[in-house]
Amino acid sequence: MPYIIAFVIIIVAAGALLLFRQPVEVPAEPVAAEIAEVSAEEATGFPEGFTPPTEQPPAASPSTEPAALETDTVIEVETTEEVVLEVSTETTTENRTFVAEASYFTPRRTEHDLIITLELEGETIVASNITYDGGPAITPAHSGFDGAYSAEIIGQNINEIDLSRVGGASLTSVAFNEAVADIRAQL
Amino acid sequence: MKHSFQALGTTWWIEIFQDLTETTQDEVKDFVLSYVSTYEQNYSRFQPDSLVSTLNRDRTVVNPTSEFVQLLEYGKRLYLRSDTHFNLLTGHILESKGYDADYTFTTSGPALGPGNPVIDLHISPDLITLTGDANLDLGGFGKGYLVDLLARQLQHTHRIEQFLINGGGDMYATHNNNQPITIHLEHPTKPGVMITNTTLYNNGFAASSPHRRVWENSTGTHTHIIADTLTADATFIKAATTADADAFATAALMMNQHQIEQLVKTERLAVAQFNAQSEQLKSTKNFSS
Repeated sequence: MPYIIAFVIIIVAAGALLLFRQPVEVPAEPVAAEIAEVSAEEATGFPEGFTPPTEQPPAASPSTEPAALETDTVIEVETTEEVVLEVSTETTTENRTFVAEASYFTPRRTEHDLIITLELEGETIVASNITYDGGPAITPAHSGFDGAYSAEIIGQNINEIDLSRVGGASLTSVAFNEAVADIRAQL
Repeated sequence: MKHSFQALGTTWWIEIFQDLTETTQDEVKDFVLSYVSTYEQNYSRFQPDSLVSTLNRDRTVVNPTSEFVQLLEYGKRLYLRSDTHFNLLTGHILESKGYDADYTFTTSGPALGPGNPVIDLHISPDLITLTGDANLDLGGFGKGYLVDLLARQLQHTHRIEQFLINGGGDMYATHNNNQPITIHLEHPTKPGVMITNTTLYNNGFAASSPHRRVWENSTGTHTHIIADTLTADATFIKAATTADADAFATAALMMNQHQIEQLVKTERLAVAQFNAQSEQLKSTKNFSS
């Protein structure tokens, strides 16, 4: 008998639970759907690029369904957090200095060593210095190169540097390019 | 209040979402028109007596206004911030292609390359000099810069908090009763067709496309964007300021995906790029928010 009473109580409790259970929570609407949109009337007359739509978004496939939003893809540039847009325009890019060495042999088998120092802001070269065999430029080729190369590289993107016979110095230019390639690899 | 007018070769809209008295509305309209007109007189490459034209012609401006100094320093910085992709020393190239003060759209000879802002443009409070052969053109960020100036004036001088300034597509929006303001992005080659929309809330926005401002002459088809190759048919940028959005929208058209990723991280931008052939829109995650 106690088993029968306990069984009846369980059945009644289960029925009550089903009857008075809270409804399943309705998922929240996407945030975008809550954002008040400018009505078509309000937007009418916006100049180039921002007129309200007069047609359905373009379909990416022959399907008759408007598919522009569905075919959007996301560039995965933010890996950890959303960017906050209300930020200062002050950038914190600091200049970085890179050093590379290069050497070359003249036809007379004389070796010359160059130490190239470049100061970069982002990818742009903003300052440079070269030591030739441990000191300032002395040979005609080095002097010619030293007087001309700055104008070719300052303010230029390091990825676009490719000197050729600057100041009449072809071997020095090649060695400089090798040093730049070395620095490019350090970025 | 909604006010529209023509300036800097395009249509402007000033939309204010909060209530204003008629007197204040008139004051704001008069102020905006006067402010924009003065800016155009000072900085348009198409105005022969502007500071920009003076610098291009005389190669020097003595005792420049502090506003002009700040404007040029900002433009010069853009060259470095964009890793040389944005260059304000391209006026001579546009002129040689026919995008000149008279809108001749006639090629006037072979164009030199762009100038080098780091070594050609020297800016000090007392003197601005331009060396080399390149000419200055503020078209790549000047309108956005003006939108930002106007926004600051509305906020700080006229104490207006809720507004949208739209200068031919370069926009700055605060909010509408604390709600973001939705804008529509138009297809670059199908006028009136929407690609998608996004919202602005205290930030700037700009778009750039080589399919806008296109002209043809005996030497071919030309666009106002100076680049050998472009990576998209349209770029849309949200940034802290409209000037940033304006400049980086143009620069991003010339960047590959890796470069855009670096730019987004460094400058904290939201970017969308549209390819008209595939009808595909790629955007950073924060663009649609």
